[in-house]
Amino acid sequence: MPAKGVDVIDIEAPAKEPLPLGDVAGEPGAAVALTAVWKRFSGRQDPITALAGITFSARAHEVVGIVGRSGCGKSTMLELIAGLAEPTSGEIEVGGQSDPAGRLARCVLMPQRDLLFPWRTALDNASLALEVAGVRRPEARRRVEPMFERFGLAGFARSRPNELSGGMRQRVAFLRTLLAGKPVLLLDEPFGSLDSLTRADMQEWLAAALREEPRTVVLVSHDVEEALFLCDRVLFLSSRPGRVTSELQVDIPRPRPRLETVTSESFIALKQQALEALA
Amino acid sequence: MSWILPLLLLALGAGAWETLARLGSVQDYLLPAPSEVTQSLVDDRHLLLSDTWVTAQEVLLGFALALLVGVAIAMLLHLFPLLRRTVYPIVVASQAVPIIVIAPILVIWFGFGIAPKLIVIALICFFPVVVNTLDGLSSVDQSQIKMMRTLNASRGAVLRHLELPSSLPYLFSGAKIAVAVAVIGAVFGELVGSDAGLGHAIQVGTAQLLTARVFAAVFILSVMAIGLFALISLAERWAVSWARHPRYEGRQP
Repeated sequence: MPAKGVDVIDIEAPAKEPLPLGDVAGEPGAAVALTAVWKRFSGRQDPITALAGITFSARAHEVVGIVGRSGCGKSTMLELIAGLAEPTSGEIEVGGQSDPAGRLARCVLMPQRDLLFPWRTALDNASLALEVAGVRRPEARRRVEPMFERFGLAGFARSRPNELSGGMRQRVAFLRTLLAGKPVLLLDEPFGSLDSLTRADMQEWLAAALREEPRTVVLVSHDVEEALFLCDRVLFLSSRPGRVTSELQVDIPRPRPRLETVTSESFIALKQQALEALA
Repeated sequence: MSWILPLLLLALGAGAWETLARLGSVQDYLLPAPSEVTQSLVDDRHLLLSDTWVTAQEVLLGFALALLVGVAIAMLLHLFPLLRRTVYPIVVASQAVPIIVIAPILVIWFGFGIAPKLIVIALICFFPVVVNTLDGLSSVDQSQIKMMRTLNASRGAVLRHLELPSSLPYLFSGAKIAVAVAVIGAVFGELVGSDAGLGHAIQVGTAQLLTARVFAAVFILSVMAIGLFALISLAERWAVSWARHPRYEGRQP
């Protein structure tokens, strides 16, 4: 059954040739850099400081995790990086571009909810980015359909989102995100709405997908284990106002088979450090 | 089977009415019995049929015009906030002007043809279409818009791929209200100045105390409204089947 989609991208196998996703706009790997970024919202009474001087960077193809409690400004930060909003002060560079339009051209945002359009089939949802770019629908379908098998979605191209499981919906959303052809992926708790078993499967699946399709990733999460398992480096954010309190290098070689990884001593030690950093 | 109950109620009402009209001393020209109305439907069928055709044409064309203009106005108001602030109050105000006042003026301007009727119908019908469609366009999930923007979607692409499809259920709600009142609009237009149509038949029938024929015309108008409403509902089921699904999550906060 294709529903057991995790098997399709095999994490033990050596990386295959990249998915035929087309050219990634601009440079293949764009670095992200934030320098003393502040964001204040002028509320009705007191202005709210969401981010208080955030400084960090992500190298090209690096997977950086941002972990913090709810309401520490993680989502705000992703929107700022993506160029959907401007910081109150400070500078944000993506691939050397600091203007919002330049950032928007290099980043794609994948929110927590899959946000699939209920009036489109799974296939048409995945190919949304192509259609937006001006590719005609039949042509977009023809290009995207072969990828459904790789993403563990074979046989579900014509299904409506409400006929798919949570994990499958998330995979469709991820395919839509990748097809935007952007060098930087901003993932906002991408598996937050899934049950823990599906989430574990999807984390493994994402790690494998990123090995095939390397991108610069900024992953926001409130799940320490998820961040450590997926990322090269994890930053910890304090509660509002959000500022970076500490940073953890995750020196676990890839691929990381889930069971061996999360039960290894080094992982458990990292997890302990992480939980202390958050306490 | 949703039509059984309303039909039963109608039959019950007609039975009571029939009994009342026959037993009581009510004059025929004041309250004709349902049987007399039915008789008139049969006897005057040629007259009523040609009147129905005229009115149906007016209703369909007027409704189509309202739909076209309504959606266009809603889209313009949505795309241009300044326009919305300027024009929306005027659109609302247009509904406060009594149609009965405008209709004769329209006859003076456009004569006794179909044009003034279409304008009256469109004037009545475009309002629910504009209000509902505009509500639909503005209630699109903001995170969906952000997602579209990071997919490099232009303003037009957001409108075409996201805002318009997601406001279709609203548009249909507006269209259902509009089509029900479109029939009233047609009668209004005909009463003011026309030589054909069910409104004209009602006017002539009233003047000649042919009350049964008046009731027959009203009956046809009701059937027309129900039929058009059902037609729109059918189109709605076909076009926005996704919105009826219990797991449809597009409207979540």
